[in-house]
Amino acid sequence: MPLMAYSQGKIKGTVSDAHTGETLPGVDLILEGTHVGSITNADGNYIIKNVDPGSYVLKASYVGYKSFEQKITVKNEKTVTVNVKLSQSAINLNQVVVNGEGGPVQIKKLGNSIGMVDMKKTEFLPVDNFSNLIQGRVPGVVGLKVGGLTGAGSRIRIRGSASLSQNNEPVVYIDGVRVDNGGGFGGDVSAGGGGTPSRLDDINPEDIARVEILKGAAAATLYGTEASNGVIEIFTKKGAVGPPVFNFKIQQGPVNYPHRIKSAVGYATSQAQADTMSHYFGGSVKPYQLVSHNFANDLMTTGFSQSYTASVSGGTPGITYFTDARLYKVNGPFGGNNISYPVGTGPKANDIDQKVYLNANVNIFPTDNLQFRVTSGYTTSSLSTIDNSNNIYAVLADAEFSQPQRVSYNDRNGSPAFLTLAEATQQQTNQKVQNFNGSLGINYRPLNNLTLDATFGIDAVNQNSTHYRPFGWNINHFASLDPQGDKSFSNLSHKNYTAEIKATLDNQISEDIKSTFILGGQENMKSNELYTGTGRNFPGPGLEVIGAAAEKTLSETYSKDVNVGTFAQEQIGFRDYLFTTIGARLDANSAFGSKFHAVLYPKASVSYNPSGRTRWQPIGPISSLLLRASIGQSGLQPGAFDALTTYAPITSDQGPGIVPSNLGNPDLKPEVSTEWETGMDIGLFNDLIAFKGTYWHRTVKNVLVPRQFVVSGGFRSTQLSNIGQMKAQGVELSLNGTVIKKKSMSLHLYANGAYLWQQVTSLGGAPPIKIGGSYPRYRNFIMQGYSPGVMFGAELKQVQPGYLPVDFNGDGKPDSKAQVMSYLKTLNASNASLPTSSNVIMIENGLNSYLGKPTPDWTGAFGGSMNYKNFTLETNFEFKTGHYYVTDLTSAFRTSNPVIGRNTPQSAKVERDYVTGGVNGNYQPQNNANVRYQALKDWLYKDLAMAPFSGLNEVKKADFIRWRELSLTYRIPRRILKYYGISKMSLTAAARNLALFTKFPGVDPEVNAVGNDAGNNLTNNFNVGNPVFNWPIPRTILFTVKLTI
Amino acid sequence: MKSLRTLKTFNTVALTALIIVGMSVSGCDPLKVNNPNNLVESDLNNPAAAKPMVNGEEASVTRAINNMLPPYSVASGELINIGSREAWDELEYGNLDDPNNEFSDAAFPYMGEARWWSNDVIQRLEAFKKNGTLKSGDEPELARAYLYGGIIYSTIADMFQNFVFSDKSTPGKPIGDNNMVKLYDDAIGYINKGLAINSINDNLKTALLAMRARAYYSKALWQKDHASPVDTMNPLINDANAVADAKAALNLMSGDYYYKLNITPSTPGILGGNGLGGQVNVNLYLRISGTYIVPSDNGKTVKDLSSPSTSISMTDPIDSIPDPVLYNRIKTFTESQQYDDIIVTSKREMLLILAESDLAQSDMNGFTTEINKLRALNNLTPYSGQIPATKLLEYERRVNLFLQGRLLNDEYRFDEKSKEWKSNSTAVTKPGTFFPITITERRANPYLSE
Repeated sequence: MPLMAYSQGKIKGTVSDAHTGETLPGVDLILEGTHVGSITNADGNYIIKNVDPGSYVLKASYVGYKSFEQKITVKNEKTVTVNVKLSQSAINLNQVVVNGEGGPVQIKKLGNSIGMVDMKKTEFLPVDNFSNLIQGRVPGVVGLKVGGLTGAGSRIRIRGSASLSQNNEPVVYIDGVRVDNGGGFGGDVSAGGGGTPSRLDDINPEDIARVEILKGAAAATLYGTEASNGVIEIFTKKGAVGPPVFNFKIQQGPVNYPHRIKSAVGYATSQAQADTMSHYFGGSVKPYQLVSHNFANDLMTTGFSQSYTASVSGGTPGITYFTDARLYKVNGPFGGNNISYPVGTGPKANDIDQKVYLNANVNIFPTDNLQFRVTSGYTTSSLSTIDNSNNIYAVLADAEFSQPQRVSYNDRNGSPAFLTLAEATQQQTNQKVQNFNGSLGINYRPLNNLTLDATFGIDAVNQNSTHYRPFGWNINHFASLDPQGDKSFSNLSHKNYTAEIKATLDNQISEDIKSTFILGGQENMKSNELYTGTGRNFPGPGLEVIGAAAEKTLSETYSKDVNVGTFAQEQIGFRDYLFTTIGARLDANSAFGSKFHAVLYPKASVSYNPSGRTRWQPIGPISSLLLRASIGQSGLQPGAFDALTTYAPITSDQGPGIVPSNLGNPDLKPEVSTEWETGMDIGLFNDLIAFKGTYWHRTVKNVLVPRQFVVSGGFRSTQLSNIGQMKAQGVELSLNGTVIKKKSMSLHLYANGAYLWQQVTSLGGAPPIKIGGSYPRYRNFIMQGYSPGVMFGAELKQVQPGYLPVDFNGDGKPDSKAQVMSYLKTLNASNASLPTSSNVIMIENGLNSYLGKPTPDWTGAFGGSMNYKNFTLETNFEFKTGHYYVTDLTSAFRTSNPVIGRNTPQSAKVERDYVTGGVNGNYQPQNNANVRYQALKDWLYKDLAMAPFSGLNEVKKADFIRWRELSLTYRIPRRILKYYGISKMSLTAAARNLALFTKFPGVDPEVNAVGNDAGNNLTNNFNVGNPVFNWPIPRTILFTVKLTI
Repeated sequence: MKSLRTLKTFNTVALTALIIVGMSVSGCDPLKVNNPNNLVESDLNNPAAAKPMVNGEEASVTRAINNMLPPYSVASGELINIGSREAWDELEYGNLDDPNNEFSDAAFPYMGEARWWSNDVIQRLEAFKKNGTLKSGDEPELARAYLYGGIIYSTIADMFQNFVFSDKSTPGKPIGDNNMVKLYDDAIGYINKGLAINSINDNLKTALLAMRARAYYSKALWQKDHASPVDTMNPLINDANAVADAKAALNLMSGDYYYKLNITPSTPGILGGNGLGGQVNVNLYLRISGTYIVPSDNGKTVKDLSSPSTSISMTDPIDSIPDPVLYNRIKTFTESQQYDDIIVTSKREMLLILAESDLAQSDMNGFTTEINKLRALNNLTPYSGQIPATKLLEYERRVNLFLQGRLLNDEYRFDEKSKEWKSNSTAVTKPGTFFPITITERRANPYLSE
């Protein structure tokens, strides 16, 4: 707005609900084609000052309402009053989105679907981090939990997996700047695979205004290489013209683990052992009496979550601002104080996640046609977690290994191997992170129809992680690993630079036809520097620096990836209801092989909005209609140095050496994802109900397959080759609407679901790829003709009724019951042990039986909200179903493993019965072959698992419904608040992860052995459906007070 | 006029954007990114890389054996499973022919790497030599390369039923069970070339001679284990070449000589995923069998290494004391944590070769002389016929070559069975069975089926 001396006018008014007459606070108003606007206050009033005389279109938009437009004329020193009545609407085709089209565009002009999360809709829900914000809001967008440890983030998948070997995480931008979408600890530091933070949780959810999600190549073409897994663009709050608005939010509440872990059960085989058990467990334990104790529950306590946010926003016609600060801290529900420790010792591990977020955004408007955007977000975080997951030193694993019959003075949990529970709690994993994201944006409109926009930004992460076992950490003298202590560290410096320049030219070619042409270029450079090392054996207690260790290792790795692209797009609109778009992006990338230079990704789309026609008449209940179709390409480039043949350094006793490392492939190029989608948006019953349906289909060619060449050829590692093909298709459906709308009450319901089918259609002759290498417990494969991550393993040999798949008599055939009984009669309590050898147990087809796939056909959510007077009740449920299987590895360990397992209530009884042939009321062995026979059947068909029968009895149906969120909010009436000068105040009681409804027998079907930064991309992508000693997802209750002044 | 101006402005902007992108793509070439982490092929053409390549060969051979020894030692019964990883059980039971076994499968790629890299390094150094670019003083490095080549070829022949020789991504055909014996010839051929290099010092010459003695001996042993049926009736080896080399090596050996591939805290890259010391001493997945040691109360470690009597269960058949050879070996092994050196050859092994040769020829004096030289190293009572000589030989091999990857081969020919073997396991039902080409290679190699 020019700061000129001549007179200007004002626009003012009130915005209210057209149906109820209720005034609406927080409505955005803007004069079309300018940066001039305002936002309604708590009473629904607004005022736009300093408006140059002239004609304008006043636009008002608010979540859940139809957009409003009205032509107005402003005269010198006059005030124009425009009272706006907004009609509630479940569909808003005029809503403007920014993501994917090179500039702001209305939804009706898009040929593709776009997912949106508006923070106004989650205002009162128990959402305290980005992982929770993204979970279950948009069909086709799935958050994969690693486990229930405090601070653990989610992996995000959009429309499944568009790559085998490259990172399947979507690309994430904040205000146009690419950010680190990784996580974990890095380098030598690991807590075992779980407890891994996501760097996306460094984004303060309180800063976010809205999130737009492009789900695949059809929508994300202009983002080029790396966008084939979708793009998430986060738009932060910028403030609006008006007096300063102060917001305060206080949130506190308890965090608890559900008690879903089975007790440890064991039995003594001698009187001396029974006497020891009596001493520690009470009572008078007899040999072969089953004794139960839940050591996992002993570790749990009630955690506490708290966060405090303060923000101020506002502005003048020349500048708007938003700044806030937030302190977030969760002291999680791991306790460790309720187990026995040697005198003078106690738990040292913690589960604490603490973050401080600072954010400042300023928009400056020196003139009507020039805007500067400055954004800056800084987060410092501190995370402490415990050893966890599939890790022999993990705390929960050791609790679940526990065997009551082994309890002794120095081993109070009866640890069968590796370490005691008390020792496990001495290990500490910590991480400190500083994360900065900042950008400078310039928007210049030299002509009414020409807009130039540039964004320059940096995302910088400095991540320091440590894993520490103090000197003498084996406080029970059980553990053998580094009793003098050890410490690992990793220092990861990640930088991501983004520069983008684009020009948008609008041309009214004729009265009916409008053209919008966009031309731009983008450069993205990301670098990672990792310093990591380990020190072992401290000379004494109290030393915590690696320099003090007797043995030290150190390594440094560096990678840099540069992508340069240019894009162009032309959109032709016909009478504002028919739109066609064509465009393309040309990319070059430093990771391409020397024989490959650039790749072109084209796109095209069409949208038809018949309800936008002036002569449109509703068709039955259909009040709005948009038909759309689009096709586009995107890609994923190989890793920074994958194209090179390399030899790695290694040190021998004789000095520095070299060994083969990477085979290399000079022909490497990006894999190219071609996606088309078609769909419709329908408004029903005067747009009170909205239906949105999309069908999409994706083919990825030149898939970068991490081909395992013959290891006898000298190079052990896999080599990427562009030889594969993947296909996927899906349907995304959503239905939402207002079911009841009265003056004092309204009820809104929604449901969404996404169907996903995906298949590796070709591996180009490469052999099947097993996830996890030779480690046999993970049964996920990349196999031609199957969904990626499909599980294969053992199943018992099919036998006739009256036979069992065992061969005790060595004739190579399944034994009949008579033959089995004949063998069982030879056993007694001193020589009977459950059979585990492949020489006895007969399986079908080796380890090649199809066991299921870990990605469900259907994912989705449903729920609703009800407003009654000043109360709002909101809830939602998430589900996964349809050919959905998860490997219950935790149970497999606990039912089958002869050393650390056979300690669940069921499996301990099976083993006891097989060994004893049953017991009488006094627990004396009865040597009954029939009891042994039944125990053998249970053993074979329920408990036996793992090598050499990997997969057997492990893979279970995992369909579930989780009651994800519930909140009840009371908004204190304005009439009370205004006496205190308060605009708004609300009190909310909310809960997250209230209940889980599933037949899955394990702890939690949603958790997994590994999370962010699981190692290589293959593992990160497809080690799914493998919960292994993971903590269940905790239940969080949050009480929130929000205050606006 | 206005649209002309618009077009002009637009063109200016577009040109600017294109220039920026163009500069990026060509002029400044931001796409050129160097890899500072690894060497590339051309770096290896530099003769200065000769010694680092040989060091790398040593590292890869050490790593391969360090990762192959645990499955071998579990299959032989020297180690038992005490941890959570069930795949050890099958090996312990004597089922070592499963290509899916995670431990033999995890070790196989290291063996493949060491074999190929040994060949490649030798070829590269020979090329330097031929071109006259091998640096002065680097000829012994070539001899060292031959030694490591000899070690890995001989070890493969000792431990595998069949093997495959590929070149980078080009698959090779499996050489066949019956041709495995030729690997000893390859090993011997390499060592011959190493010994032919004049500038080698006595240390290297000793190691080469001892290794050649071992290779000749192992070749003869292979023929007994792979006879059909296993030649348990005539298990003793008398190989003239082995004897000649053992004698020559002994002449150069002093003290209780060992040739080892060393693993130290400063060589962490050598450990590999499932190294011997790590599996036993650190992670407690495996433990030395109760046949050899007294286990601790919780069964996880050796009870008390402060003395042989509190740690060793196997007794010397003549002195009836906890075996001091085992005690020294196990104490060193345990205290080394994951950094236990790989013993390749030793004075003890040479003496055993000589003693066995004499015994095979019924030269009891010769046998007694040589075996007593061995026993004298631990101050044990000399042998004078207290027990059958073959039993003593078998025993002395068991304790003096403990955890060196020899026992399984001896068990087959001496018709001895690990007490952990199941009666219907392959080790029992098909004696002479060794490790297969494993699943990772099988999936990738079109000449092999899964």
